Amino acid sequence: MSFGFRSLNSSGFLQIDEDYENYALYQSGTVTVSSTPWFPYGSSNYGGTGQPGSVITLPTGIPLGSLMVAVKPTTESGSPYVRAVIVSWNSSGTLNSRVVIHAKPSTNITYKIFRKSSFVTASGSYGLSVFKSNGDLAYNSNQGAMAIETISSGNVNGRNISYNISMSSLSGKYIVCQNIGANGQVNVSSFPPAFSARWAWNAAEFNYSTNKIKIGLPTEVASRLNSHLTLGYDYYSTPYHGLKQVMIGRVI
Amino acid sequence: MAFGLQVRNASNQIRLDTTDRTFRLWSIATISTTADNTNLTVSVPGMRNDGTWEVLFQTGSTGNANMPTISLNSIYTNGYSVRVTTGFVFPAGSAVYFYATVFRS
Repeated sequence: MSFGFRSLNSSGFLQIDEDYENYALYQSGTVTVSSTPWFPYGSSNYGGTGQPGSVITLPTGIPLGSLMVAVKPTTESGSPYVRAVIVSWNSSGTLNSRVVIHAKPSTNITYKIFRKSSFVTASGSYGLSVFKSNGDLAYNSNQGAMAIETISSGNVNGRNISYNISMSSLSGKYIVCQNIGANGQVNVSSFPPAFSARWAWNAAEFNYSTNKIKIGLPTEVASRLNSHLTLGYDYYSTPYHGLKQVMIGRVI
Repeated sequence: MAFGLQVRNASNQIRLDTTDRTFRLWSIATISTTADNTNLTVSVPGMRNDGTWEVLFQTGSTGNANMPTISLNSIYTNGYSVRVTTGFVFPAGSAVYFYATVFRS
């Protein structure tokens, strides 16, 4: 940038820049997922994704790939887990977006959806606004935002492998975990895999006693899965596992 | 405060503090493949593996019996690499799509 406005925080990280748009809070809410636990096998459950979840349908017309979702357990106790991803697609010219949240059975999950500042309405008549040279809003202090505290990554190469992120406190902390993907799938040997697979999703397991977040197959799901596999009827296949990168921070 | 920017709202609450680390949109790319277990590289001029970059993925494919997955392999100078697992895609041979959003904090 040759002129204009730029702000760095006390550690030297760029906060605001006229060249690039900050992300602002677009929509938030709470969902409660089903009380049905993840189950790797059942006569009426072939093809299911397993872990209980909720789907949030967003307005059409949002540019594909432009959303971000952060989540946390609404009640900060115990060791709930959550996973949230965004699915977006173009259907005959209509841009569709959905947020899919899987979580521990019966858990309330608070979600925050972010998009570019220029697409978010800001309330309030004073504060700080920064615009790009093309006139698009880059930052407005009246918009909600996410303040990043850490970006962490690790490998999750199987159903019993995970990594932990230690924080000084998990109170009020949200996680962006769109990249943690599937851990694997249970396959019923005697059926075509396409009709017998059941996905087991990786998730972020918040442990509010130890202030750690585990990235991998949730403890409850891993226990259920491992018990089931010892029966020997089915087998577990794992897709390729790369880095499972997450962002953790506060909503300000 | 020692230095930096602090913004307060009309109620004198801090909206942005000198220690806050925000993030900005850098670029969005569409990634697609029909081949299972494919490594792909994406060029992002200016990108560095210095802990301030993040790539987030959104699934853009629908109608699949099983979900394709994508994993970040690595971030390197001026780009990143991913691995795409298509899963059991219907119809056979159809492409899977992901949208990859690069942020910098």
